Amino acid sequence: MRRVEQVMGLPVAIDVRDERVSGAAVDAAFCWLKRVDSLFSTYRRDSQIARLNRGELSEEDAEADVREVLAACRRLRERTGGAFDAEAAARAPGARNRIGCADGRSGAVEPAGYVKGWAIDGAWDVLWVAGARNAVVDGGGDVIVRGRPEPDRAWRVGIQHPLIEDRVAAVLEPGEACVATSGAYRRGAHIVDPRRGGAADAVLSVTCVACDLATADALATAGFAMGRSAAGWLARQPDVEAMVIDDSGRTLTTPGFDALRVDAPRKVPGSPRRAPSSDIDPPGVTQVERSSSCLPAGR
Amino acid sequence: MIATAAATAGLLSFHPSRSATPVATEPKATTTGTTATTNRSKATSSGGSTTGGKRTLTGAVEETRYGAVQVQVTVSGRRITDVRAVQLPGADNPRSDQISSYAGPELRAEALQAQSASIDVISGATYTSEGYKASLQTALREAGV
Repeated sequence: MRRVEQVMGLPVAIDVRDERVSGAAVDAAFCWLKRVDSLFSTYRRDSQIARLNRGELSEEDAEADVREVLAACRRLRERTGGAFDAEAAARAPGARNRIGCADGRSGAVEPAGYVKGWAIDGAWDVLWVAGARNAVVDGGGDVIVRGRPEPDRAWRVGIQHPLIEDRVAAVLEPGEACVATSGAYRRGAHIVDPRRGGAADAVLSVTCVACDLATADALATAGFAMGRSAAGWLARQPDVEAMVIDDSGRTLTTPGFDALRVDAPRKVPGSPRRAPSSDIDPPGVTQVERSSSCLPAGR
Repeated sequence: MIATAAATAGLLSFHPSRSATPVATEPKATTTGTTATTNRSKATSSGGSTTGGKRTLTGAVEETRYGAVQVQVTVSGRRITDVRAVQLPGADNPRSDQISSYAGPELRAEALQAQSASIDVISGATYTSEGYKASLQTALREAGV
């Protein structure tokens, strides 16, 4: 069963391959996404975020989901050294004049960079509870794959090539992982590096694979804002595999990312994590062991 | 959130001569579908024509929230050589306009690459129009690719 709806400003596609899952389960997943939009959208005057930003609602009085997301955004700002910053996002040109951003006043937040992945994770949870085990949820190009499309093959995820529109830069079989890509080539320069104020431009695209889409999406966004330092930074994160395409067209990947690729030779299982062919090799940095069970090192 | 097409074009001009090597994908002899949308059953396509081994097929009109979408594919043998939108949501709604200007070229790209790689889903594609995909699907089914 495949259904697509435009929600949260994105086409969201849900493709469930389990016969036992009813249309009502898919309805419920879209319902959840619409609720998220009503709580978080800065395009709505009456969302909780819009009310927070105007000072009409305090964070303590906000819904639990809103408090959870805002706490996660603060953790991400810390973790990324400010490359992901929901407050800076609210002040960014193009966001600050939005009805829910309160002219980017001090303390205003635009958590959309986290909400999208987090919301899609929630949609998958709804489907899982309803019995879905083999499905794809695609939120405007950030995807969760689970199980298999057919018994004898795995889901394949193509990574859009940022420079050549009719090509993919990589093809993955991510197993049970989530894949998010941030780039300048789709919506224009929509990610601003909060530390520089201008559009992030030293990389063309950052793809992250993680066990949940909230992490994959947020780290891809942060990595894109970091520009050239993204590859080294991402290589040191324990819960993500990454591919970075920089503005000279070089493609940098972590070894764990390569292990998921089906368009390049797979690494021999059990080979050292830092294989010689690894592209990401920041000086003095050893890639950390992966802690996450859905990524190659945990297999 | 949406920047102008001009801004996008500017960014695309970064060092084009040194672009990353695209993945070479081999056309499959038997393609079971271009994307996961294959599973949908839709109205049949219409309006095929043939010139010099090339066939042009027009997909069914798909109604979307933003208006009607219709796609035309050109096929040479079993290979898709072009995909064009013959109808995209009109100018009655500024948002539709934005979506149209994005969705056309983007989905053209998706269709061209997806035909050969058994790819189920694309990461990185924002503002794709499912109506476009659905119309494309009917045209492809008609074309037998």
